[in-house]
Amino acid sequence: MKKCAFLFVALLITFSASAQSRSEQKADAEAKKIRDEVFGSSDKDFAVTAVPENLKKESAVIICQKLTQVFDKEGADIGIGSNKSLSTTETIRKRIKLQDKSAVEAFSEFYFKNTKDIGILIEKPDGRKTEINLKEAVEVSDNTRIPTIYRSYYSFSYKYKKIAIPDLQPGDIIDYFYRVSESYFIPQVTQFAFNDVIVSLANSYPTIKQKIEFNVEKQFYINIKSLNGAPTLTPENQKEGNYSIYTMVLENQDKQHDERWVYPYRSTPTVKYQVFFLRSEGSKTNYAVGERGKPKTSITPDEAVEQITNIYEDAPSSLAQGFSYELGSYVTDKLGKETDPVKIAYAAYSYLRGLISVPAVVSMYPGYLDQPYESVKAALSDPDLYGPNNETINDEIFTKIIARVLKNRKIEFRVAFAVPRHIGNLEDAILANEFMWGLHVEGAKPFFLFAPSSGSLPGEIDARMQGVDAYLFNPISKSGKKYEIKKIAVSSHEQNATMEKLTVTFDESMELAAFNRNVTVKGLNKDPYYNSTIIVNDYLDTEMTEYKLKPKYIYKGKKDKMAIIDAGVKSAREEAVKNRKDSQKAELEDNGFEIGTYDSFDLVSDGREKAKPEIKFTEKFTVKNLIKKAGPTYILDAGKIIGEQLEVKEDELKRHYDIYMGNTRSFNYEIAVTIPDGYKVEGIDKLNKDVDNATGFFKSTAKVEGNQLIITASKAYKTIYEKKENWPEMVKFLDEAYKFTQVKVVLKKA
Amino acid sequence: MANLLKEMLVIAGFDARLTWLGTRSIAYDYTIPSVAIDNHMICTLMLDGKKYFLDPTEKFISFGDVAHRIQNRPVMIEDGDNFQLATTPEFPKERNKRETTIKFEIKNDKLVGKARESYDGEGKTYILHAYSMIRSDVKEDAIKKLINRDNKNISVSNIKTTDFEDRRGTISFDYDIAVDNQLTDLEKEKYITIDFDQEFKNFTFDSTRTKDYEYDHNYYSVKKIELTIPPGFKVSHLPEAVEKVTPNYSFKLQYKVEGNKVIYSKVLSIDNAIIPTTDFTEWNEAIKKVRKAYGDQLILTKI
Repeated sequence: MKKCAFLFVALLITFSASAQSRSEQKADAEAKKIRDEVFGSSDKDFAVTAVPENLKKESAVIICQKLTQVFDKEGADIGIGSNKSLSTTETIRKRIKLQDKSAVEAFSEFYFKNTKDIGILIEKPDGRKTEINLKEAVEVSDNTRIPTIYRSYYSFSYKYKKIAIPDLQPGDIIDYFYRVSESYFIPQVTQFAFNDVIVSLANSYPTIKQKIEFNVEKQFYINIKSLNGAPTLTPENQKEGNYSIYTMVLENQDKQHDERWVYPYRSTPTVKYQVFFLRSEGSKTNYAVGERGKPKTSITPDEAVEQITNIYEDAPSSLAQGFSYELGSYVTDKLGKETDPVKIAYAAYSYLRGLISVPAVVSMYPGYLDQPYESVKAALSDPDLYGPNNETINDEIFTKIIARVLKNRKIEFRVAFAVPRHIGNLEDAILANEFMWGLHVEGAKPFFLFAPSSGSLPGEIDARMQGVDAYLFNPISKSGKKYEIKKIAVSSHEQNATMEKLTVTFDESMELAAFNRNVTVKGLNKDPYYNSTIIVNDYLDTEMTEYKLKPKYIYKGKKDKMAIIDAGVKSAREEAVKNRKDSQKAELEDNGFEIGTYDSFDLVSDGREKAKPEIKFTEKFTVKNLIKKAGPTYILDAGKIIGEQLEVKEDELKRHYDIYMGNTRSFNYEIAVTIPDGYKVEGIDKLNKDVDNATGFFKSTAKVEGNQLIITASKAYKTIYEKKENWPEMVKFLDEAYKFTQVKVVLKKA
Repeated sequence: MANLLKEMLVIAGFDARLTWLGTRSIAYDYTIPSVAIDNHMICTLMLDGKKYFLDPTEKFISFGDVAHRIQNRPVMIEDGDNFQLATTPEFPKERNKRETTIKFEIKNDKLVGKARESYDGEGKTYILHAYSMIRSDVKEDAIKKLINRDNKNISVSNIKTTDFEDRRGTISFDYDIAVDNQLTDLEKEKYITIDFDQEFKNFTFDSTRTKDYEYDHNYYSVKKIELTIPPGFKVSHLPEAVEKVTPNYSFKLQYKVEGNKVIYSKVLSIDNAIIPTTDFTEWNEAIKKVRKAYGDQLILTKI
């Protein structure tokens, strides 16, 4: 019996091993078939070897690049197995000629999606072709470092691998492809949206020919938009079996240029697309789709409003309902029967900001609780342990939560939605998630409310939403879906302003300058200060009390163990306060100051309350080498007191793209330098500057009052967008600010 | 690579041998019988009674030159069933000479003139390698940034270089230069910072350091700047000279007036690539003087 059992198990193992080997063999054979199919293609564009004369000095040239994306379904249309899964398959093939050592270096470490369906051919100038064996490829641990040229258009969850390609030389051509697929199980789903894709067609290298082909199952819908000179789909769609085939071709595309203040999707040929599935044609959907078999290239305002309305009318999640209840209670506690829409909306906004941004969550692994406090202490100071109270409140949920509260309070409002600036214009929206949601609160002084960032105040609009058109519609109104298009105002540089008041005195040796710096920051200029100058400790207790937040521990244990955590959290907070001085010092050093000592930091206001909307702080520090001896006199680097200014270098003077900046802003300085006893100052006229044009300005003055050199300086970016033709105007005031920092004045014996 | 080079030389009819060695980071020699002595392999060419130590992993090095990391190192050369022990040559700091000469005159508050800059040794191989790896479409900009130190105040033009494909001898750059914001004009006086390169200005050692400081290689920089005094002006102040010469390093900065020219010369060297801890205090004092000299201004006064 035992012998039989043993024999049976032995046979089973042998059978399993050979069965595995057969399935691997099958996969290998299938992969080879795909390689042969791709590399054996009769597409003449992938046989080109020569590069036009004007591209011969480029590091590399993409001779041809083709994306084929298939959208498919599996299962019958009706019955038990009906439409059980959807899938998409992306095949990308690229043919790249390497023209210098830099390109050889870049491609010698080759990255690819971890798929069996891949082939890499190296073609030498004499025509010899070698296929790279990928057996030695290794997995990549950090996907964030994969160069863009290797990334897919569609977002797949594949890991990457890499392999060294030996013996590459300038003049070689790399011809490679890969194919990846993803399936989505949708047994009872009535509507489904594949991931959206926004892609710039400007690559790291110039591209002679780019082709995109969509094979879309006849039941699906495709939305697609071409922008900034990107090609449109060929007018005649082909039909092949169950598929509609759409193609587009772009020729002679310049490489992407690395410039500051660019939104690639606004400035380079860009394609946006998304494919949808509806189980029944014409059924109610949260997506603005067209007709089956016919690409939809624009969404009308009515369609957009209908789409958003359908999403809005979807039953809110229990999460959103719960938040609405808490928020409603908070507003009632705070404001009683108040009817002012501004006060109500602002209170609700502040509460949700607290939920989103106040880190009251402590992630604590159970193992920590068993360790002595000393060994846990270091871990507890890790800021990554602390998360916001709730990360699931996105713009849609934010809107729905506040809308419920306003509705209960009978405050009039409309839902607002718009496309963020860095993506595109409202009329070019085509994707399901392109819109950002918010509210337009009506009343004597209507205002917009969008989801908060960590430090924003009610009424402060996210920089990405300023200057864009928004659709406004009333979700409650029964009299038809009327909508309005309203432009969201752009805040002025005065509203986003930083003011620095500095006093500078010198010690007897004149080697150290003592700075006393008072800083006031308002509007969008505050954003970079949160999580740097302003630390959580500054507002944690106040806001946890105000919004009745309790620390949430991912793990809970016995009281004595929790006491360890509490003590650790307290210690971590004290550390953060100490560390702030170091980080402030580092910030000043990054700004060009040679710091002697950093003596004190005092936070006056964290800018998180409507009643005190500005960040205010003072700091004291000493600076070395601001003054240098020159024979019997001293030279003071007066211009450097305002810190480093942007340098527009020679290679930046030519501009390829329009200029898109985050927000208007201004930076203002009032400086009083105490002239050392027995000295007078000369050469201050060079500190007077005045360049002012439609794009911005830099202005400065200098005068002597008693024993003080009084300097004022202001720099402002007046706009958030400029055509590239206006770049020289911007350079004028930027250069003037830089020149100011280079001005020296002379201190002579009086 | 050493294997490949040896085979290629042997095929060409030369006596070439595999050679083991430890680079500078290895503290041992062949008195200790251990594989830990070696961490590298090169090729020794026996030619006309001389040994040439050839390291094919050293990119862009010229024939006869030896990289700092393998200078003065004990080596074991294969010799049939036996071996030979030898020592690689050591080159003085002059091998890594970087030389800059500039002739300036003052035009509209700028220092304008012509310059020549040359590199040898480690600096040369570094530049040649870096240049070869830069994308072709930005090579020209890269050269400009090397010469103008990526400093917005310095404009360079009419750049002529030696042939970067020829790694023998020095590489050099000849160019026109204009430097802004180095001159404070008070009409009757001009305050001038003549030297925009301020090496070692902040390079001090703090008291917590307990180990010697090792540079990548010996350092040797020679700079000479000539400024023509504009008519109607005379020199009223020359910054004080600095001279600190030690067996391990030296700093020499000097100004002098010759006719209608101010001649500035600067020679900086790290002679043995190591600053021992015993030198730290003196070094810090010397750096203070150097920094003071950099900050001092040449003053021209109207006659």
